[in-house]
Amino acid sequence: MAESINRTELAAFRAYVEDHRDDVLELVLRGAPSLRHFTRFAGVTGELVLEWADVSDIVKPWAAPFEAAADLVTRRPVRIKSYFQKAEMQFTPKLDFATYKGKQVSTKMDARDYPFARWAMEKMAQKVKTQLEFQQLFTGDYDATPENAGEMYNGLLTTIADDQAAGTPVLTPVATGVLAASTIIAQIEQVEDAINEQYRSEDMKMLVSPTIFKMYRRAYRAATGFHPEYADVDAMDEIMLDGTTTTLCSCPGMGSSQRIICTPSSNVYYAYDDPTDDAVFEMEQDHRNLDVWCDFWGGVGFLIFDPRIVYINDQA
Amino acid sequence: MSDTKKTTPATEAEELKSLVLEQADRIAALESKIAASSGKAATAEPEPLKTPTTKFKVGSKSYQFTVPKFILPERGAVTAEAALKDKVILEHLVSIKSGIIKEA
Repeated sequence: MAESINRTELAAFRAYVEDHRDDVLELVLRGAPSLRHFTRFAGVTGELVLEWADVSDIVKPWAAPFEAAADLVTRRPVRIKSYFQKAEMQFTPKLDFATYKGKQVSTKMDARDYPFARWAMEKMAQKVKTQLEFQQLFTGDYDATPENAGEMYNGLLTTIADDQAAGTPVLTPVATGVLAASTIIAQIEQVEDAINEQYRSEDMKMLVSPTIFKMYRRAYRAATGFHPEYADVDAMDEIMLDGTTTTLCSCPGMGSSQRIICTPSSNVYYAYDDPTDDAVFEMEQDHRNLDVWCDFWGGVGFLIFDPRIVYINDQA
Repeated sequence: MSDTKKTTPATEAEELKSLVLEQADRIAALESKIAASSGKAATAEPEPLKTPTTKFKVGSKSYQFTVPKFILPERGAVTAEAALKDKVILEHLVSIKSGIIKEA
């Protein structure tokens, strides 16, 4: 089993850098910003079965006989699934003993107290969330024998693509055509216009990639001479669509997709067991090594997969 | 003075036949009313639409639909079967590079 820190490139400058610098530069990880658009279901280890009920029209002209119809309320199961995952690293903290970090501690200090190992653990937590955003939430593609984060379960984009390729799809796409800067404002509004007013009982979220989000924003600015209205000044990646309660949301995990997904936040779930499972690590000292790991559950999906509550466009 | 009608076996049979037919119609009407009020007809799951395999040509290229139904902005829901009969829609879908059609 190999140690998880690769020092190869550092070797040439080690004598100077590690002896004299007291901070570590890093690439800032994005985390999972799109997760705030999902409804969280805690305590899901495997499958949680709920149900949703659909009520048919019941109003009819008055007549004396009592004629209540059968099957007016249709109940269907909703399966919320989460999948068991892990993240692990192994450090040999004493390899860092002669370095700047090593100088901060005594030789008898517990391996898990070594600053560099602790720094690496903080990075692990951010990396787990970043992989969730960029490899799972939207683009995850289930494989029966998964080998990486992106193969454990289907993300939202994959779920929709599979439905549209099914031959008898559930969702009805809006024919917007290819999204382009010259037409993007109308195309975004076309999807919004498709929402059935009977089911517009709460704020809808329109999830798009950052590219599409910026395309809309810039086209709006060019067309009107001012910026569109933000849903919240603290959320610069959300825009209120004119005359509606629908919010256009930039989701980094959607990558280069041209898909528009419009549904309430309450209809997309993120299932997990405990929120600290992927952020608080277990540690075990194995002689000079420190094993660090976390085991956690996670999964996403639509709660009610129905064309009355999930709207999409015709682009992949 | 009694109004006596002269009947023959043949006319009696005709009258009976028309009565039986009338009753059969009434029974059928009542049965359909009962079926409607029981909700069976209203709640029957509709057959899922299937994507048509029929190809269509716009310009020099052939296309076919990838979904059985779609929403056309400012027009509403349109089935692929109906769109196949509407040249304007087909040309529009090709011009916007819609993802609901593919080259065949």
